[in-house]
Amino acid sequence: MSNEKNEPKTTMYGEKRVSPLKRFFLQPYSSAVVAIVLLFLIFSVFTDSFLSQYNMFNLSRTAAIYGFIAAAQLMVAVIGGMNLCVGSVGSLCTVFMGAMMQNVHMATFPTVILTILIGGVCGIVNGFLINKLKLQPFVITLAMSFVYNGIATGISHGMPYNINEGFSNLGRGQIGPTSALFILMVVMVLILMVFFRYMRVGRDILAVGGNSTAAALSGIKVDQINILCNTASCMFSAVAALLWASRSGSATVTTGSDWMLYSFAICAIGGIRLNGGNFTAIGFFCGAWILTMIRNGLTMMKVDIYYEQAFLGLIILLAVSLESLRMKMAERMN
Amino acid sequence: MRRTSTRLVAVLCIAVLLIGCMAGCAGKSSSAAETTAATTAAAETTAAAAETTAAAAETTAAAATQSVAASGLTWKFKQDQYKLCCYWPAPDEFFDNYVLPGIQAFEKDYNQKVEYSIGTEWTQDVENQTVEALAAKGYDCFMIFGADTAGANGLYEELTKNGCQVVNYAGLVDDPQKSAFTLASDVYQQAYQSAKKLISDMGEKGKIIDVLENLGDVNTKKRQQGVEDAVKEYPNVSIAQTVADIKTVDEGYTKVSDAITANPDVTGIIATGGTASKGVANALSDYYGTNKSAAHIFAATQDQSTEVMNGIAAGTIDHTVGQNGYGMGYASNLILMYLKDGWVPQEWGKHIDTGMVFITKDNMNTYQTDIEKVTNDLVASLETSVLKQG
Repeated sequence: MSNEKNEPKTTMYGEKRVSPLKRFFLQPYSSAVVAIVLLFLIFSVFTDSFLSQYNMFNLSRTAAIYGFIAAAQLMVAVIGGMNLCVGSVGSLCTVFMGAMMQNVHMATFPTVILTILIGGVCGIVNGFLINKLKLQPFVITLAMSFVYNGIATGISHGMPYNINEGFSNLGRGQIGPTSALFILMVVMVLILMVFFRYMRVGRDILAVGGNSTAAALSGIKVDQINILCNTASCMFSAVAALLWASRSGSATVTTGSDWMLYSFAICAIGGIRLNGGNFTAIGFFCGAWILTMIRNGLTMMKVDIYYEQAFLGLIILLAVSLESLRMKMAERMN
Repeated sequence: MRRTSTRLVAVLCIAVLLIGCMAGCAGKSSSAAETTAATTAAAETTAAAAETTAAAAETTAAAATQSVAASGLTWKFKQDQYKLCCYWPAPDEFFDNYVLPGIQAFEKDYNQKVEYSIGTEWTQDVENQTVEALAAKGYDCFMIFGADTAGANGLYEELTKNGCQVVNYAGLVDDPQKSAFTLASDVYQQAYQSAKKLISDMGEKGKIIDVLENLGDVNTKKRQQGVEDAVKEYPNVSIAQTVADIKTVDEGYTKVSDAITANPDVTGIIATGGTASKGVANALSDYYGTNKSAAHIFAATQDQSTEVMNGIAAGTIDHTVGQNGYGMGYASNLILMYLKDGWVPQEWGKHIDTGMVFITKDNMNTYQTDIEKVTNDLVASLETSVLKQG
């Protein structure tokens, strides 16, 4: 009887009740949320213009485009694969879009549709080669990245393209206090959340990522899932290319040159396992914002230009170290 | 068995595709194919520049003919014994639109064939491999843009030791010089004069954002010094922020956008590198596009890229520094022919300033005339001020 007050509380099913704080720290996205809050506080305190309306507007646009770039990597990461041609597909799609608009004088809407289809074709090729050659996605997508880059360079010869008037309205548009791109990103994350949580295909994808052998034995067509994910991955790259051109106002072949690194970084920071099987919408969303805020914050703080890269690396390291800390805390709580 | 044969079919398909593409490109050199397509692309995008460039070619040829005729020089070798080669690290608008026309004019005037090679990456490693392969094919007169300002000298030294003639162009490399000449703009003077013009536009007061490229590049250091020296002359002008380490247009766009936001009271912005300038052009276009009531930020950029020229036409960029790519292409090859004939530099490794011109909205369609005069003067002075009989 004297021990009743000290006994842990339990649910009606006999499970141990966990406090909201503990429950939060057990989630894979919690470290990303903590990181984003910390960065927000630091940059707000130490800079003058970080919280300005224009800066928030810019941040939301950049985070949105990073979100689509990361989604390209996410779609293959969830099945335990990787896509090293995220950037080169982006470059190819940018060049294609520019050539259609400037040289063929195609209207915006059909150009957008065709560009996304081009991305899809690239993804189908990747998926087909991964399935049929039975080689690691690393090797296939690395080789194809050279192919797509080469095609983009061959078409453009390094020349930039002008885009249709009005196309940049999306990239520069504002809806209420935020940017149109940010709304697009939120919609995309919500769709992904619903897709992976409630739709059968989404659950199958996660199953393949968790254990492809078990998934195959369960009747899931792993090869088809592979092609589907690679196709979706490259289509997201194409969308990111369109959004970037819309924002920057021109289409250049150098678009996408650093996307591969960003795509991995955002997924890793967001708590998405690169060996597959999980997706966390909040973590993914936060990962895009963290990378955007770090780069923006360093410029805002006017750090020494010679050490900027070092600061960038250290802050990213700090952000991912929080995940390690969280896992230890989660183990202790359990 | 079925899976193995499917894999075999897939591999065979890739092989056939690859061989087919390579066969389709065979018969003419890849550089000539790029040249043909690049010329077409250049003509489409810069029709006005092409017309004035043709006019420049005629007058430059006249000056060159006079120069050679005046000394009574006849070339020592047969026309096809001058194995001239030009290397540029990666596809780029500056080369296609400005250097290439100069090379083509030289080819026409001297009945020569210059092998153009454009690399796939802006790295010294790729440059070394490509140029060494060209040297192995028998080319011995090289005009090269050094991908790495420190590493390029190693390549130049190797070529020179093997009896090749080398001219570095379009950018400085570190000292000591290992090529006979560098034909490039005086990047310090460009940055210094451009900053002074910007400050004048600003009314000699205000804050500037200085946008730089690769911090490890000797050209960047000189440009940075030029801007800072200009700012020092005006007590009411200061540098609000320096943004650097820009390697791509998109990186420049993002960093400059952030810098403008971080400095809401900025009056001017200056970019002294071509890539950074494209980023500035895009960033300013975006800034004015999303801030209808934004105050004008005076902007100075570098080179005559499409983004920059669009910015000048739109009024978002006040002036850009136009380099004499035409002169680099023309004069470099002419110097190589002289060197092959036994002429030697009066000063080894001399930096020959190919000149500059400020391009504004007023002269954006006619500036080429100013550049052609600089080229004519340069070509006419080769035998007196640059070279001597060996």
